[in-house]
Amino acid sequence: MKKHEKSQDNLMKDLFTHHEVFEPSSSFTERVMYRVSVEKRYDPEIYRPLISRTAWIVIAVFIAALVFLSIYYGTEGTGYLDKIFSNKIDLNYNVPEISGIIQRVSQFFSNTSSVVLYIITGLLAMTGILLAEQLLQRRLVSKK
Amino acid sequence: MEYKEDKHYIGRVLNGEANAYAFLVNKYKSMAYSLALKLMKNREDAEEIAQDAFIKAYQSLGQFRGSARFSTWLYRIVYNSAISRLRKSSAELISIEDSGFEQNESSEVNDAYHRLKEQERKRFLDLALEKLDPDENFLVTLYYYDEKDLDEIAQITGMTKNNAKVKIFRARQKMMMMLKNYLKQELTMIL
Repeated sequence: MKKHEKSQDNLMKDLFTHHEVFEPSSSFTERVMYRVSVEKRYDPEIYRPLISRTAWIVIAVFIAALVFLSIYYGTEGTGYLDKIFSNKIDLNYNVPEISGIIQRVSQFFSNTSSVVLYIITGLLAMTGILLAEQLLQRRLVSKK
Repeated sequence: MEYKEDKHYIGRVLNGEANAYAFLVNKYKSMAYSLALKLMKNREDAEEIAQDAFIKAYQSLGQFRGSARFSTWLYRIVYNSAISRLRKSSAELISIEDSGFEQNESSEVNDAYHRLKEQERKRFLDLALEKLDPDENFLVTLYYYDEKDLDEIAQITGMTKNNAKVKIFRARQKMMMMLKNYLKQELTMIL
């Protein structure tokens, strides 16, 4: 800071030692606290997730295990989960040829290995859980 | 110290002791009200803005991260509420021309200023602040009176640090020009 700026700055600082703040009405605190007491039945909005961190870890481990088992044991139709459910997921059933799009979708599922399907299912499940949590959270806040 | 004390009371409020909030209200009500008054220029509106700011701060106290001071956070609410109210009422902010205060006049004014009595300095300050743009009045008060640094002022007003710095500089120049004129008038009256 240049010399003249420093001197102006010091002058301003000195000037503001004479500044007095204005006082609000004498009932100010009382009125704020009354409004706080009305609000009191509601907790201040603290973000508490509906699904705890631990629950998320359990879900993540479960999905990871699912994907791992599918990849490790799975070639199409011989995967670990396929064995559990005794039959591989057969999506290659006859879909009536309503339109080309449906046909393409059915072809996609029939040509896709069960491993990929498990991963897609896992991702969809995760997305669903996340969306449901957001929705519930919003409802709880709006109820407040 | 101030920071720790505030954090302590915020913790008590968050633990369900709503009455502890009165401490924070009492501590910051004058400054919050004064800042609102600088922008609103109306006691009733300023009081309403300050009250609402305390309520808004209370309602979202759980989101207060503590990375900034409570006062910085509160004054930001005051500033935003006042600005949005002013925009709604489309009140025009009266602006005075930028001063042509010369650098070489600085020491001259400085000497004359120090000859002023305390009461006169206070009178001048009130007059000068009244003549500044509300925004400038708000900024210089935060900077010179409440001793907030430029980072905090940027947080409160949402301006960039550089923009806040320029505005404070301009306001200071205006005040120096006003002081020069005030001192001239005083001198004329004496002679």
